[in-house]
Amino acid sequence: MAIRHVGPARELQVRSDDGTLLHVEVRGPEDGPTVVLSHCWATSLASWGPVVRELEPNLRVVLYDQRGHGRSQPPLTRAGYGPHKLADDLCAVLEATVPEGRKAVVAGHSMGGMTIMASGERDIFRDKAGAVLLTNTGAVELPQRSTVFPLPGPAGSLAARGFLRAPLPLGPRNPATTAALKYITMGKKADPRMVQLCVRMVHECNSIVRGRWGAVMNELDVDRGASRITAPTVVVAGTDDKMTPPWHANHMASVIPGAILSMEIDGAGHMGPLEMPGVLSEQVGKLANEHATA
Amino acid sequence: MTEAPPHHRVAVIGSGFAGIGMAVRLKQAGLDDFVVLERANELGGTWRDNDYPGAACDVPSHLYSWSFALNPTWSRTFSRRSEIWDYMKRVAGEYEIPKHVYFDHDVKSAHWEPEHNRWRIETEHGTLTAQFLVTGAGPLADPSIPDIKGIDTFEGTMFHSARWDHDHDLTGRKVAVIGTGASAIQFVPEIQPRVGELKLFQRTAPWVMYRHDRDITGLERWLYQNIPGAQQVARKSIYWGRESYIFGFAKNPKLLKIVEALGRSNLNRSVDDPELRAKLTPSFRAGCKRILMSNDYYPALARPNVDVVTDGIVEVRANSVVTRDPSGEETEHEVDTIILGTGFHVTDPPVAERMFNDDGRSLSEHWGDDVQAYRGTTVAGFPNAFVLAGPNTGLGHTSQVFMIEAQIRYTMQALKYLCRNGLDRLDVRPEAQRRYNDMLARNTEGTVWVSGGCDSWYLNEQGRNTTLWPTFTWSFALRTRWFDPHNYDLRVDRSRTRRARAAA
Repeated sequence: MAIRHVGPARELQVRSDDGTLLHVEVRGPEDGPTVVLSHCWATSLASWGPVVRELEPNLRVVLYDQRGHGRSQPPLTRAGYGPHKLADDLCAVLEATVPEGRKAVVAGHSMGGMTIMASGERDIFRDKAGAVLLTNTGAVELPQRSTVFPLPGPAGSLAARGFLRAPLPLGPRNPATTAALKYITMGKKADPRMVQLCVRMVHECNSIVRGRWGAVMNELDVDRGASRITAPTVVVAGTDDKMTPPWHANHMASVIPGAILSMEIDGAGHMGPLEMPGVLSEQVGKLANEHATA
Repeated sequence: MTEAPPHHRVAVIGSGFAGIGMAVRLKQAGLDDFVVLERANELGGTWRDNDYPGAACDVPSHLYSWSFALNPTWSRTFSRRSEIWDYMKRVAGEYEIPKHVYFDHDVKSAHWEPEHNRWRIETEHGTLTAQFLVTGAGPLADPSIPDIKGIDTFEGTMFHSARWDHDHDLTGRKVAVIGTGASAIQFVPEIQPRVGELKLFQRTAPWVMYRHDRDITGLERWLYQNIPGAQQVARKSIYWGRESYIFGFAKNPKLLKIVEALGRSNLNRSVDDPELRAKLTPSFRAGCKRILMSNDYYPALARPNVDVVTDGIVEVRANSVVTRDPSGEETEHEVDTIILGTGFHVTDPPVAERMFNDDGRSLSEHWGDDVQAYRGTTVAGFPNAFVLAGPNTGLGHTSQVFMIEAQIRYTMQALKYLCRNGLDRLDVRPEAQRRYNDMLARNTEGTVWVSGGCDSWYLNEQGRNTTLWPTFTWSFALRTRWFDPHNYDLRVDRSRTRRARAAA
């Protein structure tokens, strides 16, 4: 397949409700149906790259860095972290990039999916989101359901809690961290180039910011917001996902009233956009054809 | 009967470093029933209003910031006003303070109503009541306009530096700048290249030090962002370095000769003209008035389009400023713009004219010439009120935010004590306040501020220090660390006693 959506993006800065500046990139024709992509914990908007390159060229693709990631400002205080702040940011991006009266497809991976569910009750989100795609994400009980540490009972979830919130600096990239990150985040069959991309992004993420967001996810409960998503929603999971195992997909599909499809991809790990870009771009494209307005 | 005005637990006046800081601490403590009353339509207080060219802080930013919101990405050692203002707005935003702010609500008066145990606050847009009143109005809130004969008859453009007229293009103008304080030395170098002619009217020459102002390097920022505690090390180093100035200011003013030597070398390096040098050499001990910091002030004054006038101003006419030299001869300086760098109402804070006790006497009447408070925060006769940046909490050497945060901590301790013990009113005992102010007077003796031979905004008209904290700031922080109920008259909340509960 030809590579699409390459070349320089149109960059803009969007101020979130509390004043935090967010880095936003827009690709594709200005008048095309809009797709907004929200990335996961400890990476940046680049993690959607492989999916963006396979999206139809007529789509208008909006990418943004979550606060503290990539080129967006990190919060100054602990109060700047929380699911409601993720929702504020997404709503600010939707407001700034989705033209008045039009509907967009909003897709989120992992923390990006949590962002979408946290926004479920917001008027701006309900107004602008024509369809939703959630991949490798969860709404509740993240450390409890994690299988990263194959320890019995509460020991596994305790270890997952510690792992999520630890502000541990990773140091320079090396084979040990690469192997560890591959084990934790990706499936066995993952493309080595994609593993390298993932490792590079995680190493670039500030460890203190990473720990703060991890602490937010330890306590995350966005069931309430998820239960208000009425837009048609596709939920995707990977069978080898250790951070958000398929249990979450089943749970979300049962909570979200708009859920139309729940898929499990065999052998895929947690990094959906890096491991199964074909599946995701196909689903996003379908949703855009049916539900986004140009 | 009219509807009862809305009632809140706490009303905070102002949204500068004090107001936002107080609001954040209330939120952190879980007290959500508060409002912030702001006269403008944006947050930021002094840092919102003072948008003159070149406005910056003269305390390093890593110290001049809230302890709960360290900013690892300050771009300069001494940040510009826009960056500080942006920082304040972001911190307030993260804590969702704007939801509690009533914008465009200038407080007209606040009356203590003992029968209802509350403050009744009249604002531009309606009335509200609150059990506790915290004023964060600050001493640098209202510009001081000098009382010069004929100043109203000036036909050109005139504005104060804290109300800068950005629509007025200064290019090629004949500009008079009155005052050589902290604001003037920042904006004079900025406007000097643009204006046609600049007359700087100076009453007393300030001490101006070299400022180690530089970009913060990428490496430093990386350390602050990635190594937990690295920024605290930097912050505490600046704090203790600055704190050592007190040895000169308060303990042994002779040490300030070192500072004076530095100031003179800064002057000599930039100004060659002996006449101008003489005009710019201060005649009092360094530190008596605020020590200023600038690298471009002296070079700007040495430019040919600048004239430093040291004769006293006697009159302002329609198109000129008139001065009189010591021999009595008058000179008329033709100007079309006057910029007032004349400072603020510091020793007579306007908020004191708007707070009234149960006799209907205002705080400024109550004070008269003797502006004082207990621990800078509470005033006998004004129950349930806290004055942030109040009397004797000002500083000449380090971060005002440090003092404000100490006062906020004390206020929070007091509120928590009342809550825990079922009390609903506190009023500091007059003898405690008197003892405290005696201690301040003793500490002020022998400091440079009273012995340095100058007339500064630190002292009131009687020459008493009512604005400055006269010793180490850590000693203030220790004094305000815990609430001291034995120095207060406290009242039991009768609605919370066992008998009241049984009756209900």
